[in-house]
Amino acid sequence: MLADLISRVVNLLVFAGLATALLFIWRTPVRSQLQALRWQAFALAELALLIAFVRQEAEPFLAAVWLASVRGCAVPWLCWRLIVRQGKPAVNSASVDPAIRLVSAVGLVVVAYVVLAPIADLAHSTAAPLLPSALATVLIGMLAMIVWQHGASRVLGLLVIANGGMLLGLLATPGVLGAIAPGLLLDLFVVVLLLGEVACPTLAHDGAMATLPAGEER
Amino acid sequence: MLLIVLLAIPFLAAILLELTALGLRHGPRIGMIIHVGAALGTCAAGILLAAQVWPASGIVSGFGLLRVDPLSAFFAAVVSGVSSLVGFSALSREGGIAPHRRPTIHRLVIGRWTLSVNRCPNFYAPFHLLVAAMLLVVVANHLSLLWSAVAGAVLILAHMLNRQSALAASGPSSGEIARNYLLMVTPGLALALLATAIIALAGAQAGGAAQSLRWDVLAATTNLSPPELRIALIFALIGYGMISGLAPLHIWLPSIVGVAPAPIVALMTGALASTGMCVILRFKVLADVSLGSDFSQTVLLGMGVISLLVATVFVLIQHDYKRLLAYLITGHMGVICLGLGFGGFGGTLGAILHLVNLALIMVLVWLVAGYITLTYRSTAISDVQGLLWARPVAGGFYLLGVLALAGLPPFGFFLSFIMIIEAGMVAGIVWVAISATVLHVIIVVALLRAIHAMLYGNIPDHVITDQRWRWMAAPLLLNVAALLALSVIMPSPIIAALVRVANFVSP
Repeated sequence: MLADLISRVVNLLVFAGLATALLFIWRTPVRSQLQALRWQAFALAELALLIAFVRQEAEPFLAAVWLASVRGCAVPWLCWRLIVRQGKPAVNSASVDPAIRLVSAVGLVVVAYVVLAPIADLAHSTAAPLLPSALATVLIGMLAMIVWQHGASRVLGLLVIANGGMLLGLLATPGVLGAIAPGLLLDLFVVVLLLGEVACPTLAHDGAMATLPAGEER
Repeated sequence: MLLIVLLAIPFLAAILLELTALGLRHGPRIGMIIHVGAALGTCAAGILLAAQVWPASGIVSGFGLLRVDPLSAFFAAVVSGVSSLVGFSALSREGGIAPHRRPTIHRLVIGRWTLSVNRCPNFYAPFHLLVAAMLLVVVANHLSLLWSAVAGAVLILAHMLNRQSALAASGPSSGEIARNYLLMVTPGLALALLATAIIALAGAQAGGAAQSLRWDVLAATTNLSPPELRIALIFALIGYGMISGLAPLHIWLPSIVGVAPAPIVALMTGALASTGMCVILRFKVLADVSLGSDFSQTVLLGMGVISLLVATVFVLIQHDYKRLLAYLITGHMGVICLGLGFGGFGGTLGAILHLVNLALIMVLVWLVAGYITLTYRSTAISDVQGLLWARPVAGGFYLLGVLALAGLPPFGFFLSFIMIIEAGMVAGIVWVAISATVLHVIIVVALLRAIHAMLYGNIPDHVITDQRWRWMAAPLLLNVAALLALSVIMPSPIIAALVRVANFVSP
């Protein structure tokens, strides 16, 4: 009974991760995208907490704390603060229509299921059938990096990719910290890119324009 | 012990060099001495490591995180040697970068707090950190550590791109270049991470979760699940192949190398690309143990053909000599994949030899290409004329590099290409071998047509003739000597090392 309940909750949380990715690709305002990312991060954190509870291990618990604090709170907050500070437009523009974006995203979900179907069939794990959802999240993140024209949204697409990778790591190898931890490096990429995309003006670089002597290359 | 020394030298040098950047009076001079010493030390340690005979089973150390085997020892020598050549070129202004900038005050404002640091940023510290990261990739035994080291190397490269200004008179700023590089490269890293997770799943099912990411344990396991291995291998080939410039994720290469400083591009295409190929070879060996060699060879053949086709098409329509060189990298990486795909001892040996030659040639041509850009202030082929008369030394090196790149004798590409094609004929994959030869000939014709236009003709008015030998010629001479050693001379220790690697990859 408990095992059945846990299985249903895992299904729900994985579905939430995929649904928020679809929401991210569909919604145009940056604020809505940040909200979708928050929900996705919290869904993953809850999944990691559940795994920690079931397996009685510390590593998924640490992953849950990281997901909730960094990807759920810190990164969206940082992104919004930087956008507001720079006065950047908070409405996105995409190179394709919303309908085409959604259809493409659904197509990628189908592709993910086709690609990972052999693993889902053969792997002796209750979480194996959910692996294609994780790959679909990664592919939707890549689609987001292509279609969105706002720099911050492209960078946030990277976060969707990272969440998909984390989801795959949690489902495939819940007890293997080594498969989960590298995904945390992707958070560093995201923060670096966000800072570069909408950089705080008081952060002084050794900028080429500012410090080169006359006659030196640009 | 030698392994620890190999990793420690560049890492400690990076820390010391970062300290010298703190506005010390003789900081730049001290930094230069540390830089030269660290480059020489890393190169020597890498060569010593490769000179020893390591068992094919490898020696694992560092709590199972590091390993030394014929593959890692050989690539450690390649990476350290190639990086040292680029490092020496950074000492001169003709290298195309500014090793030291003027001291600047950096202020970081967080809420009410302001952090001020007076720094004289240099090229040397991130350079050695990058070398340390690449060497860690090559000697990593844990797949998670391997991926993290690759991601770290990419981050450090982006940081170096951000710090060094682009050399073109117009175009994107250094920050934009760095950002575009990260954005284009990260999807490949994400695929590589997926491959790691799927391998971990396969390993956990076969042997338990604790050891499921250790390469030595996985390579000794013959019952890894075939579907998972196949998918992981494909993801790894695409993901890590991106770093090597293999199609289909090669799009970052022509975009970035056209505007980034030449020494950084030389590091990307010479050292980091070799590192990516080393990782691909590791995954190939893993897959071959459980699947047999047929699947990996088929996939590598496919990637090789696609890369060679893409390179041929785009080389024919290039008007920019830097983008032309970028597509040549894709083409030659495709040839290396063909050699691994044809299989057998000859194909594998030819592929390894091709890779080493590619790393050395890329350093040579990119360093000179950077100097050409500094001189002519343009990357368009039509704007560069009379190079042999305006800069005879640089023109001579460029001609040598291009002839080597074209695969003409006596350079090593000629020998390695012949070996790869012969392996294709022996394996019975005749049409692929013939097609590869035809495509390669087309690429060579396009390349020689471009170089002819650049070397001869009337010198533009703004270019001053300079026939002096400059300090940068020294690392280029070393480079040419290494190329000739790999082709004409072929010392027996190098042959023995190549044979050990080929036997390791295709036993």
